[in-house]
Amino acid sequence: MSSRGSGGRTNGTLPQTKICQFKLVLLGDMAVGKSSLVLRFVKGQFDEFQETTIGAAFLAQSVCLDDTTVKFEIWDTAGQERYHSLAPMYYRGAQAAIVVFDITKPDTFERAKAWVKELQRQASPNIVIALAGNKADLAERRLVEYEEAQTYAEDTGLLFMETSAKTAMNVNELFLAIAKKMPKTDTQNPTHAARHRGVNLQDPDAHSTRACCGGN
Amino acid sequence: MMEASFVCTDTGHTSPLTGPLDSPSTPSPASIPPSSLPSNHPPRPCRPKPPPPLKSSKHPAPLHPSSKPPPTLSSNPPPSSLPPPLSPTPVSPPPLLSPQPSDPTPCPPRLLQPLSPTIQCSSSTPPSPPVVPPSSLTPPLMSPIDRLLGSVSVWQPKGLSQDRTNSILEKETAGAFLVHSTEDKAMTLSVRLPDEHGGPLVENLEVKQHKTFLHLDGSSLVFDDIFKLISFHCASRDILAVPLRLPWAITTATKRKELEVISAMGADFWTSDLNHQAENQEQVLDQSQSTPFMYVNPVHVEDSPSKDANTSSISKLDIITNQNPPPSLQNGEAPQNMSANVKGRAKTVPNSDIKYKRPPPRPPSLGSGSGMGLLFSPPPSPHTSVTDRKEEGKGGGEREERKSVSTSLTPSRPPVPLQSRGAPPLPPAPLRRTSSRKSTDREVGEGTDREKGQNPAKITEREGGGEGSKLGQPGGGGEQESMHQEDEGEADNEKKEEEEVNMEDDKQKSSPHCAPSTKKPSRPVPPPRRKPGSKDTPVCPAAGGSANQTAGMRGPPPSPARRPDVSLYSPQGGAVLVTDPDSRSTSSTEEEAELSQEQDQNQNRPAESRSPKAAVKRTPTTVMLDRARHRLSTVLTGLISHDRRLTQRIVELARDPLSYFGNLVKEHRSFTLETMSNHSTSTELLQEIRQMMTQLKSYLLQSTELQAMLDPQHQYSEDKLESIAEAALCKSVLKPLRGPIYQSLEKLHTNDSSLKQLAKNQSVILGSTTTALGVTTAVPEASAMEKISIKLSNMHLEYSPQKKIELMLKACKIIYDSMSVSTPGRAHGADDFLPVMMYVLARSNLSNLQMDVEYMMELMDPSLALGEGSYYLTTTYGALEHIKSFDQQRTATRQLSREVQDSIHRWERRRTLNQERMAQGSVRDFLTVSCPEFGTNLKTLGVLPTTTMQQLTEQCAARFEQDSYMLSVYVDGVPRPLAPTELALSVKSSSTPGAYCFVYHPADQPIRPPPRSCPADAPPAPPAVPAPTAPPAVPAPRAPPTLPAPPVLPSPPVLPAPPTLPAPTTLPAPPILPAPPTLPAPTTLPAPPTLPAPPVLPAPPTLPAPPTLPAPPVLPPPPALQAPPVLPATPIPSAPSAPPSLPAPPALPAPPVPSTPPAAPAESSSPDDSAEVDLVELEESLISL
Repeated sequence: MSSRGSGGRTNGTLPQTKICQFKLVLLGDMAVGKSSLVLRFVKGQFDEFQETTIGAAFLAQSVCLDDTTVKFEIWDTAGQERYHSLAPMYYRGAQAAIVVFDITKPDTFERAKAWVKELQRQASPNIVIALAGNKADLAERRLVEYEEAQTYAEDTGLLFMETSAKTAMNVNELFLAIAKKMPKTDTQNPTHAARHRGVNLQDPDAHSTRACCGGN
Repeated sequence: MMEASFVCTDTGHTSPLTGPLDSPSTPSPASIPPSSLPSNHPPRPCRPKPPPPLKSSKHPAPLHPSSKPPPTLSSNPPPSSLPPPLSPTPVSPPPLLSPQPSDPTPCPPRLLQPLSPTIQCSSSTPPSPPVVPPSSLTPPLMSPIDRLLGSVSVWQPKGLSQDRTNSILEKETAGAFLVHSTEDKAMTLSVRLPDEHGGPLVENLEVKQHKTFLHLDGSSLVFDDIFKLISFHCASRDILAVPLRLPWAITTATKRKELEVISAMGADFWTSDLNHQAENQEQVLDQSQSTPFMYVNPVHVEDSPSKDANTSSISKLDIITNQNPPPSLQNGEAPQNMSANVKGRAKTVPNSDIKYKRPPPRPPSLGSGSGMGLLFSPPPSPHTSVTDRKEEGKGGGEREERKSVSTSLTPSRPPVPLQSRGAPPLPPAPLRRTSSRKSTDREVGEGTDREKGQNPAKITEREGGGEGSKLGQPGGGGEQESMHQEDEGEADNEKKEEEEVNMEDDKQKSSPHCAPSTKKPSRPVPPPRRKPGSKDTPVCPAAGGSANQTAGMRGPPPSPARRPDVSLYSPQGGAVLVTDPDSRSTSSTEEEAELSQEQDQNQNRPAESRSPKAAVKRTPTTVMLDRARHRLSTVLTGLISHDRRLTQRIVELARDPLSYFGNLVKEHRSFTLETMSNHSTSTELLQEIRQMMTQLKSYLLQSTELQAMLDPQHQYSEDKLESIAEAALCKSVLKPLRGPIYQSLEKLHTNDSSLKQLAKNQSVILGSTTTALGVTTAVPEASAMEKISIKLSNMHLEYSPQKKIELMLKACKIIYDSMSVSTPGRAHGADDFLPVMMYVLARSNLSNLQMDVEYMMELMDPSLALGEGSYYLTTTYGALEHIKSFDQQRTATRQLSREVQDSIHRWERRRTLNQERMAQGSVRDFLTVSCPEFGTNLKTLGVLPTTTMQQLTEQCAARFEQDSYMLSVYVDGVPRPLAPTELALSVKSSSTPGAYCFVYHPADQPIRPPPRSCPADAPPAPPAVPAPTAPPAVPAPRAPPTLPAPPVLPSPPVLPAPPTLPAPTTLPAPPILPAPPTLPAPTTLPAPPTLPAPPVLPAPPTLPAPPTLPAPPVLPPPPALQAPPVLPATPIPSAPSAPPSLPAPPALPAPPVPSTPPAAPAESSSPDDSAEVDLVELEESLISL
């Protein structure tokens, strides 16, 4: 994880790196750590490839995967029940979603399941959904068993990881796993890509750096 | 580093005179002086130039046409080529005034003469002009540069020691100077300071060499050579305590011989009687000067020898002008001038008075070269400008702005400006001049704009209560404010300077006169400018000469190099350079605002550094820093200048009724306005408009009209070009439509009661506690709320979707900031943000917000990735929907309708689709239909590629509200049978453009066959023509700019031409069709062809105009253009062969005709058909080839 900037150059990212841009939506109950999770991802070792945003509700982050640069536009949603009705506006059209729950709060897991269900019903058919059991650092207070969540995820075809925004456990891994699962076919044409990229993706160093810190 | 970039353009211009000297002179003055002394005007080449200025005819004579003419008579040369545009328009207004010969510039009296002659020539109106010119032409007249060159041995004597220098200068008056070199290269400029200083009487400044440039130690203004440096500082003191001035005897010398005598004395001159006599006189004059008259001196020049009679009158004029300037300044300069006037002027012609009054600011003459900023003062009445400034009492920047504004009024684009500028005495940069000037002018204008922009921005910021500073964003107002403050500070410090400058300007105006006249070219002229591209546009004011250097020397490295010029000017007069390329634009405010925004972004860095400093008390040092900063910012601004310029040019193109694109825009706009009320939903309405814009952009990006505007030296990426086009379209399309759009939206939303719903629920939310809203953080306090509401109201007023979004983001940023008050360092996600957003919205104008959100969502550039903007738009939109559906009874929100839930997704899809459509070139076309007779009640109908005649008839029925009528098409006056299923566009394209008429008429009442062709179709083609024209105006080879365009049109060589060249053609329609072909894309996009249709309407207006307008200017260029267009086009097939064999020329009727404007129009008007045919033939032949 700490290898940022060192050694990765070797992957020699090719100039013709594909650039894929994805919209990723964060769902989950209030206070389960949605924002923290993303902030950890964005502010962590990928810091330098983060686009500056006015606030944490929207973050953009690029990740380099092999010959592809994946740029996530991360849309956070308000977890309050009263704003539930707004969620569709955020997740419609999203290519990926992370549904977050707090392993110390069973009700958030139930809520997460509801989100997954809604996503599968209303979101894009091809949406990649990841389930994140956050606050894994509080394992001693765990009320949602890993196996339970794991089983649910397998049954419903989700990516699943227990994460800790506090310790950064599995944070990058989660995003990279999503990135890997994203269809890379929709690489935008050059001009398009150029227009969309917020970071200088042409920079070989940048590529290699990212690749190496993937933390796979 | 920065310094290096700055180059005094002025000097460069003037350089032509020194031309020969220059090269050597640059570093070592020594070489120059000796040789030059013998003959007052060492550089013979230079000589010729001055005279030319006087008489337009002479221009050609100069060694380097471009370089020399520009200085003094730059105006002249252009006139010849572009007589109509420049001289007529501009001249007419100022004729009376223009004659004035007065040259404020202390050093170079000569200039005046040239100017006046020029003016007269151009204006043709001036009564006595003829008389004067001759006199001026006479060799005796000398420009400041001439004087400088002729007296090198006096002010730069060889082997002068520092002691000797001091002893000489101590006996002189303030401003006297000597240049002496200590060693081989190191030069020192010693300047006599005003006595009052109490300190040393002589200031010694090292003249340093930076690369090939010279600059005073401590100044960032660089010059090509010592002459330019000196002449500049004669007009502007920059870092000096006082402006330099040559000995009175030299400035008043009217004949070369006198100068020769003086120069022969070398350093001995200072102790000679000659000098002392002069000083005595000077002093006498000085006393008299205490009165307003003092100022007169500037007039000095000259024009001609007979000024006595005039003097009195002149003095009056001067008085007016002078009053403002501080006495001290006057003293220094006035004496010289006065004497000059008296002596040289004695012979002045009666008219001179008039001339004096009208001191055009532009004077590029040497003086101008030296004091670029000065020149720019508003032509009409320098005095006024000064007053205004004072009244404003604001920062220098504002003053500058003012100037710029005034200047801007006169849009002297390329041609005129050159002339005026050319006047400048400086000999150096000859050829470049044209090009450089253009660039300079623009730049200057930009600079002005920028400054303008700042002010508005500042104002806004102030209103906001300095919120900007809080914003971490680059564009934050805080920075602007700081800058502004600085400006003000500078202004104070430099007030005197400016005034001086102004005065000087007045003096120098002699040459400038021409400029003013040029500036006011009539509308028609503009088009040409644009085409020329950066090169052509020589905004008048800008320093005329100085720009050249940069351009010439540095050429390509545009922005940086050019900037320097601007910077030069700005420092002195502040923003003297006002020349404003954009002046013509009607919406100066808007542009200003834009500028400010741009600035924000671009200047963030500088601004940051500044802000702290601004607070610092002003010591001399800080002033210098400010200046340096100012220059730095100018340079930075220069980087964006290209874009801005291009944007402006596109906007102008869109306004140009003679351009094809302008016609399209007009058509689209009128169509939109006509049909706006037909839409049943706001989305539909907005989408329609967005589609229209997308199509226009698509056309524009492929058009030769745009290509012609591109600066060949500046490569734009596709994306960049697109965004520039988008910005320009926003301005030309959305800006005028914003009002109607909002009206329509309001109407629609009132009808669907959504506004009512919003208002009703707003109060409910307002009554909710923060807890009920889910707020877990601090909410914005009153001050923050105020800032937010200002942002939001500004957002509402903005017409550009992109800028609206920016403002929305700023408002969101303020929300974030206020949330962090209670919990610093914590990052807030949506859980925190949305509730606060709700809280804020409940306290905002929801009706406006609702419409704004729609406006942004639907009208923004679909090709832009929104990212953050998209998220917050969605959030805002969602919050509004949430409020709308808020259920009072349940104190909760009902499930949003499926519609709303999907809205964002659908919106994104729409945008994508839009984009695809655009890519495919699926352009909607327009047809003009008259009812019930030809040419009456014309309406524009939107037509899709799939629209059948049947559908078109239905549209007509709706539009004309006549169900029983029938639609007929006449081709060449003959009814054309129609099948209901026939596609409207195929009908349109099956006949030659302009040859068909759609008439919706009573079935039982056959119409009288129309004339062979529909009048409606006026070809907008002209645009092409103008371009050519522009080139001619500019001394520099314009042709090139034009040429590039053609290349764009690869295969369709023939077709392209029409669009470009057509200028005169009356029938727009035909040209239009061809135009599409022009587009490189054509292969892919069938669309282009469609577009042409719109032109129909414009035709009427066009017809009359063509002959008169551009024709004259066009004439010269056409030949050049034509040839090039054809060739380039051909490239694909066989470039060379094609042209000759093909009758292509016919296509471009006007151009071929060399110089007969009338001919061109005639051709065009009658017969598009023939032209069209020719085109077809041409095309065929090409293909065969």
